[in-house]
Amino acid sequence: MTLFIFMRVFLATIMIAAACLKLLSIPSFKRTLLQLGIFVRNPFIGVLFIVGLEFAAGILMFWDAVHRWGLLLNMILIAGYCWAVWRTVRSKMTITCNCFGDLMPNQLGRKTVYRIALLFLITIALYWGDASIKSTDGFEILIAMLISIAVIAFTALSKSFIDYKKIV
Amino acid sequence: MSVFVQLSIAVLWVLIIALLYFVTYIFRKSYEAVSINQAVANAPQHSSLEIGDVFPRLEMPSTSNEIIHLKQPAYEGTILLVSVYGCDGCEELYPNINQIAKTFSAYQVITIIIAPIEEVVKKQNKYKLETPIHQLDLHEMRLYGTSTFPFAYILSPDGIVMNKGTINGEERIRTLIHNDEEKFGQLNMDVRPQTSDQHSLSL
Repeated sequence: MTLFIFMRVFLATIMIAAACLKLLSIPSFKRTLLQLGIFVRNPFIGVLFIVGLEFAAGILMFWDAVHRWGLLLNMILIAGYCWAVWRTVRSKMTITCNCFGDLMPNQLGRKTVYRIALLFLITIALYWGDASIKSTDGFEILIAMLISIAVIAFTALSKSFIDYKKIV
Repeated sequence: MSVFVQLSIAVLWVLIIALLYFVTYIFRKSYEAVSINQAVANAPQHSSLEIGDVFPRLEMPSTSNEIIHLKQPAYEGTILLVSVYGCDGCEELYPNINQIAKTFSAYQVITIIIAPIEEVVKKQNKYKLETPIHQLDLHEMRLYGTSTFPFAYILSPDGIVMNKGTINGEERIRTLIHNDEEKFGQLNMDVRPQTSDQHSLSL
């Protein structure tokens, strides 16, 4: 497994995990959309639209033939995330986005930009570095996916620990 | 690499993820519990809301973004059910709220839940609550002059507090309603005229 293949699996897993976790916390994500002032008439449609885009971006990246479409969807989503942060900062509102479910509530703001920048850099790198996933061992892909999920879980744990330490 | 070793590595990662999830869950729940305790300790205490006072807010937003009007000449009055996140007594009240609204259909029944909005939505969905719900954040816990829960206010059609008290079900509400005229009478109908300033709470 090359670094580029790992980054592809990592990005795809993050997108699919984000979509799944949003589906598990629909009410709070609906509220985020309402606070951002989008899909106000029917926030449920907005949830399905964004979750559908994330699922599509993640799944397309596992196929060599169409993975560039997945990267394109990623760029669209990243642009959307940037817009959400810009709107939050401009309106000076406190908006909590449960983008990775209820266990990892994040306040949209400047800190979110770092994570978005990381996703952006990986996406750009994958545009330039072309590598075939077909020739990679299935077990290695599985382990790469599990490591990616563990990274997300560890991030959630770190945030919870820091939040907890702040108030005790 | 043998299948056994591959399986072991995969299972090991699954266990690591599960462990991370459980520890995160414990920290998150501990954080919420400590936040509630601190909110209770630091919450500003509104001067107690007495029988005969006009309720501090006569219009309040519902979770469905509609305005709840507490001045309701069309009803005999309003029953306000106040509950808070993490209260066992309130958990016993939620399943009965729809029945309370049906039993006291001559009154407008409003539920006030003091909890993060995510928790309010969960309760609304879990118990299929049909009454209008007004949500307050935890730091606003004592905004309506009570620190015991679940609590009920019986309001007149003009929004005046007729009776109040802790509740545990329909019977207690019935008692509050039946006793309200008697208690209200003891005040010699001494309802002070309220200025518009008194309608908004000072914290």
